[in-house]
Amino acid sequence: MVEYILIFISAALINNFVLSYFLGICPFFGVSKKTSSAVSMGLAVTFVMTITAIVTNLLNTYFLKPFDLTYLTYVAFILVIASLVQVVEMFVKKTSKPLYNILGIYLPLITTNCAIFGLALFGQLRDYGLMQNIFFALGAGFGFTLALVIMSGIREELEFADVPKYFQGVPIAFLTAGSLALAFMGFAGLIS
Amino acid sequence: MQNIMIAVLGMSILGLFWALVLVFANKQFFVKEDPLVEKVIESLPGVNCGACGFAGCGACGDAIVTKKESPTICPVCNDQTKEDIAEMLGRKIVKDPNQIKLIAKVHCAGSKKYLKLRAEKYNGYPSCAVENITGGGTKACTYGCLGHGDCVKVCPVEAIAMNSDGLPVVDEQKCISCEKCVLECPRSIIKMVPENQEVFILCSSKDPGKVARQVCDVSCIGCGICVKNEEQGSFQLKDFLATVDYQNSQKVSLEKLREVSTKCPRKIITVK
Repeated sequence: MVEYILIFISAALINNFVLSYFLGICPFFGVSKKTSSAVSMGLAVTFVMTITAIVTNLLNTYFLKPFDLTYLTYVAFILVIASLVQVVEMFVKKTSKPLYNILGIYLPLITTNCAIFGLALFGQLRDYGLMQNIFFALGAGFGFTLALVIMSGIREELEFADVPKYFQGVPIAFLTAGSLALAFMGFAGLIS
Repeated sequence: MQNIMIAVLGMSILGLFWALVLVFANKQFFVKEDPLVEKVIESLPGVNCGACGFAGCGACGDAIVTKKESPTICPVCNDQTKEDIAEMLGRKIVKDPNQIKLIAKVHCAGSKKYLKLRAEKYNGYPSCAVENITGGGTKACTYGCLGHGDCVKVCPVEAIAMNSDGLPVVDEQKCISCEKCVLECPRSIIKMVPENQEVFILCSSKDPGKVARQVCDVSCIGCGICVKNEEQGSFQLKDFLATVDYQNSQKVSLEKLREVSTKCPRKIITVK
């Protein structure tokens, strides 16, 4: 159990996908203007990450490895992630309209996001088992949501700040993200 | 050879499997949507300008049907279309007779004829937004039009065109009041004015008189003569810039406004 918790904390804080690996920067800047949409996006990413972790792990263990096809990892993963998310989107649309309204527009957007794909590749690279992979995905998703919510909070405040003319908009957002990443570096010594 | 066979076969099976799953899911989880929504969306203009406040015509049509929004939230489609949509839904439109259409107007007349240029020239990417970020650009006035036509590009109905002097001109007939150009202009010199407005001060310079006089021949120097000559409050002075109050000036006669315009030392008050 301790092992799973360690994987979770490591993925969420120490090796945060956005602020340490710089994966998923596009939604990090694109959807971090409002806290409400940031939370939705974070939830959608966590959701897709978990599904991805399960499927890619099974695919890796029962298809790619036995047939010696690991050089096709990229193609196979993209294929499976993209189609599975489509199916899940249809399923959610049919069964739960409120959930679809929260996640709906973001789901197709993130099917081939680099954070999702990075997660699948990391899992394969580190030879995680199924449970390990799931906890890794949950941690990474939580870390992504955390980074997004913190960022959106700061950016909502930034709207009222007296930013120098040439730093307004995206430049100040990048600077903020840099300081945020620096702050997250403080977690580096959390687990030794 | 065997490796290739396995790879091709394996990937084909994988692809086929997921294709079948998608087909099955599409049949199984198909959600029937209100045919009325589709009809309403078809009637909407489909330019996806977002002026109604929704993400596009699709979202707007959905809101009109399901959230009981009025078809009048669409500023683009004409009255006939709005009435058609209302009829489709069995509703009626209550009209506001006092509502006047707003159109975009470029508040700058500083074409190359009138404007001083800087010694250094901007050679970068031809976009107003970029030139504005890099610190001012070719024209000496830091408030005026940059002339790369960002507003032209963003207009969903091609109502804005650059004239021969390099200034954007809005076609009043085509303008649909979506305010996209207002948001796009990095110098915020495009403002919405009532359709029947007849008097304008086409300058946005907040430079003090001396600077404004130096950089442009058709700039407002903030002398305030127009404000003094017109008691009804048609003109207002703020930050060395006289602006027309579009509400108050409607009540004043054209003759009076014309008289005031002749007293402007810069001759920049235009009356139709």
